[in-house]
Amino acid sequence: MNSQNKAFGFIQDHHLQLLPVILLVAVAMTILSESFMTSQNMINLANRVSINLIIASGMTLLITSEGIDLSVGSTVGLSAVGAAIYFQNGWDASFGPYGAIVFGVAVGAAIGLVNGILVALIGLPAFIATLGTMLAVRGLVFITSSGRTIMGFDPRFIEVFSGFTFGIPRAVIVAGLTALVAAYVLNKTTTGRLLQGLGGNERCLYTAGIRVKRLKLGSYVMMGMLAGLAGLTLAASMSAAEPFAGSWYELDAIAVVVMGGTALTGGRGTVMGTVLGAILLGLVANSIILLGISAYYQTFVVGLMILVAIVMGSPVLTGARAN
Amino acid sequence: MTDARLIGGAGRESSGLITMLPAAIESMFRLSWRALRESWGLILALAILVLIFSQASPYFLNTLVLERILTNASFTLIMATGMTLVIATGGIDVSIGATLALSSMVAATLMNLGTPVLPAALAGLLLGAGIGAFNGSIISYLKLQPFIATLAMLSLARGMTLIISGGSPAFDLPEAFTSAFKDEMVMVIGLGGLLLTMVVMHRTRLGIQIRGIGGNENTCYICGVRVNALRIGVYAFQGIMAVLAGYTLTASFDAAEPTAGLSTEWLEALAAPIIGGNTMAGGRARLFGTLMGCLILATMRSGLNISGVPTAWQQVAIGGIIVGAVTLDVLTNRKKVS
Amino acid sequence: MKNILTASKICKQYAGTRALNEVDFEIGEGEILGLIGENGAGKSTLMRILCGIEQPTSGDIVMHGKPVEFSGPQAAQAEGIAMIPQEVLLVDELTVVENIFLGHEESGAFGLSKRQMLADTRAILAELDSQQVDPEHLTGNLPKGSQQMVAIARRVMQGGDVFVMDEPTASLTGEETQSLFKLLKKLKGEGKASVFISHRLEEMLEICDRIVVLRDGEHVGNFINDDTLTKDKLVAAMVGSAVANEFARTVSHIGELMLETDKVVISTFQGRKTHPISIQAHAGEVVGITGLAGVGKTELAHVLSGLRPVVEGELRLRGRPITLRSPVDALKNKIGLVSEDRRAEGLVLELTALANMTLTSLKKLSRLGRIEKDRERQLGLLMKDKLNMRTEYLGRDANHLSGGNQQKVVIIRQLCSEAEVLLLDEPTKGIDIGAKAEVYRLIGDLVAEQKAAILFSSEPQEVLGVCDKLYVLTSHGFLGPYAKGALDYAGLMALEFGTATSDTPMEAAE
Repeated sequence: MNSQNKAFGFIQDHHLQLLPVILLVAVAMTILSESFMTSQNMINLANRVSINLIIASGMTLLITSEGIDLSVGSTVGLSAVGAAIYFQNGWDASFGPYGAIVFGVAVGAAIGLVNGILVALIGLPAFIATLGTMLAVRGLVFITSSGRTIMGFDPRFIEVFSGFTFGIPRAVIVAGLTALVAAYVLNKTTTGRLLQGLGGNERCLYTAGIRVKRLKLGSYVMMGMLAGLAGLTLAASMSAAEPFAGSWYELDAIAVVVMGGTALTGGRGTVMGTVLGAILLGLVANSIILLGISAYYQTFVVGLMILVAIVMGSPVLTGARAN
Repeated sequence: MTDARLIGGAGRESSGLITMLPAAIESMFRLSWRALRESWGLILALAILVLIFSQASPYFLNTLVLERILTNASFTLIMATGMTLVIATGGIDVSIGATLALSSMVAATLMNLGTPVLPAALAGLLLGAGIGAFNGSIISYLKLQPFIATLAMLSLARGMTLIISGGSPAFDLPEAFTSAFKDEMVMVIGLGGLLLTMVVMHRTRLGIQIRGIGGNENTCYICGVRVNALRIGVYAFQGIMAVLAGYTLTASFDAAEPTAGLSTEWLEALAAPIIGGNTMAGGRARLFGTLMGCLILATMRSGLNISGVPTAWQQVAIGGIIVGAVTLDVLTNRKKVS
Repeated sequence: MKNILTASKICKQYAGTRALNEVDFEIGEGEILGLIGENGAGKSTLMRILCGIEQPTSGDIVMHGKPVEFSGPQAAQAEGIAMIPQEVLLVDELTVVENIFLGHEESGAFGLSKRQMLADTRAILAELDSQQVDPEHLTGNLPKGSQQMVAIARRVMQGGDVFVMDEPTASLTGEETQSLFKLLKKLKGEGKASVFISHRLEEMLEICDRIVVLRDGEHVGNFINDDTLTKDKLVAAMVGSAVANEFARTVSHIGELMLETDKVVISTFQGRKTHPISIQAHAGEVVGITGLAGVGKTELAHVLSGLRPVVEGELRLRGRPITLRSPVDALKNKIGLVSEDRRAEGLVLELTALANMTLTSLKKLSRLGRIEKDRERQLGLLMKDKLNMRTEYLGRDANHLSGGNQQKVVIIRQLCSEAEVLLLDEPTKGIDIGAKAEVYRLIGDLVAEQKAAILFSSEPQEVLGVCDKLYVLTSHGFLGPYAKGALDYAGLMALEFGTATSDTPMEAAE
């Protein structure tokens, strides 16, 4: 299982079962729709997949450690609006246009910290705590934006996330790097090992003398920061921050993590699977639009994908022990 | 098999009506007394809220506002009653908002297609029960976490609603339908559902067993309780309650909206039982507490509205209340470590 | 007297070991039967077979004159077997009356017959002299003893012909125990039989009509309880001529004083406080802590590893007082626990054996947070050589290892993290003979490296064979230390069962 002595061994996860499905959909779409293999469509697709992947990479680590964060969609919104306000208030005059990036990520980190305190220190069930922050943060998005779409980003800021390097969209580069780092952390580092342990048997880690609370707290802050980053990417790609930005992103992220083969019961996670899951979800959503099927099918398809993934991963069917 | 009773058996009570009546009245008094004892803090909180808002705004103490509060509370109560039972089993159902929208849309679409009101409404109820039963089944038999299983259902049902409706509301519903679920009928359904559920929870074995599942599923199984069937039933009941709530919403808008139940309605249905002293850990079903939770939430909402607090802040407040209530729950009911 | 149940030639074979060997066993109408034997003698296995939880490898059971086969607990219940397990199975969130009738609720025309159930509950609680228990109280809030009484009441309420009780008095007070005995006598008067397991021999002598002794899976004694029967006779029968196994181990140099408890009082799971415990563990020494079930061995291990608080007294490491607020502190002080429950506490089953071994020593195996897998693997290979473990096991998920190998992995973790004091809580529970020997050898190697090992075990042969020094925890006092060889099997049994008092304590171990 372990691929030692390979420079990029951490990419070689064994969750490639989605690959044939992706190829199948891509080939079918190339035949069925002329606009599929156009550069414009590919860029659209890449942007969508990228933003989801930034969140989903963090979510993979979180779910591997048996946590979950439902507030990421709202955090995306608050980070986007935060960056917009940064420029609106002219803070870039003193801190430069790139200070908005720091600001957006810091906003995410702050929300992550709140989640971490609720879950790790107080001991609330993760989904209910983050459900509460999801609601509260979305409220804050509306308050800070006064319910309006805010524009007026500095072009230099936008360029960071929506330009091209070597012909590759920056969003893809950001997402790719995020996924790479997440995979590295999960498979190669102490933190990753302990996150797996946390998801597998928290009691064992605690008994062994590992600082479990600190680890958990850190994982939620990390998640918040990544959601902040996704919010910046989204704002840059649209050159605007709207109050509904990021709604339902949590569902998309959970869907692709589960589809990729990460166990909801914790202990086992694969970032590579998540990458493939994100690509598949993006492809399917893109196909629905290109084929002229009502966009309303999208929500249904996401639900169906989650359902199939969780049923296939059920402890009863996989013979794994139930928690 | 051996005789069921070795000890005890003080003379059997005759179950004639006349002897039962005083017993029933006495048990009612005892229950009310217990509910009062468990929930005096909530009653106090509600009184304080009313006091604060009546000071903050001269328009608060007004029959129209009070009627609005009661109607809103009843609407939440319909779903919260079901949720109380789901939480009592140690589960959760996040799909109720979507179930509500889908069933209402299906019923409304059927009516618009010319189906008589009764069969159309029944079809919606059946659908809701089916969705709930499906949730309960995959949770029971596939041992999935209730939260994630119902999350998938949320997405499925919401998508289905959008597909059926094409994204637009279904208007022009028959008068017979809207009048049956409008205005004071919301209160009738809410309170009726609550009373019925109270009777079931207090007067039948189901009550004990539902709480038992949440307390210790394994012990219940050993004692011969049909754990899976009961849980599926509870989720199905929650589905039906969600549909009823959806019908009242549809009737008040005079249209089935594809986005119905999308915002915080269902979250309030989750928050109300927890505010009311039920615990996420399961094993408890305080329905009177749930009623108080609904009243507190509705009072806050109307009060904040009248006091001129923007909707967005209200959302922050409700998010905060949920987290606060759950925090309180976790801190007071933290299971003792070994 | 008519026999209600007759079991003949019951054998139970587990992988590698024979738990029961052709055991004959019968219970007559109105008889109260005691069943005794050392840990591992086979009494629990026999009980589980009678209650249908396990099926015998061979042998027959005849009940009420007809042969029966218990495919499961329900089948046994249907034949009239009523089991009261050691673990109290109640729903904490339900009231006493709800618990007693759970699954058998009584309904009339107007729903539940609450008054009837309440009256019946009061009646049965009165039978057990537990009137002070409010039937409408939540069971979770009751003291442990009352909970046990409620569990007994529920089983009696549901009826049966043979009541099988496994250590029912463990969490009861003296008065509660007397009430239980009164109930047993009442059942006896109704022709019901009871099988009663207890470590407390004086209770056995008080209540039982007949006492059956098991040893190493065989029926070795059958005593009619008349005036001539004494505790000593029973202990002699339990012990037989068995001698402690000698596990070959060179005694190593006894070094400095490592961990010390000074009149430490802890609370047990039943909520009782123990007698003050004073132990001293030196480097190069295997210290044994033994005693019957429920005296607080595991709790003591938890206190020494920061999982439970000290109620009174002081812990010292190398003469310096220490406070262990959590296992993090224990790890810092290089105290490592090998927990009793490997699967629930010891291992992350989803991780490989190697990852489980290095779980607490990742810091020294990593640079800038990156685990240097070559070094990790080298450490694993080194450790693997200390045991008879195949190289391929290192990469295998812990879930797919045998119990013995799992235990080795957990102990190895302490070696990797360089723990200086090892707390081993029942380290050989549920593993086969070969693996046991490996574990003992490993403990020997550890102390040879001048570490201190404290072995918490209820297996007399194990502690007598392995430990350099032995302490005995009993409900009547904390005894010891006894030097190796100062106690033999019979002597230890006599101490544990309270038939002898501490008369040969070792000189202060300096």
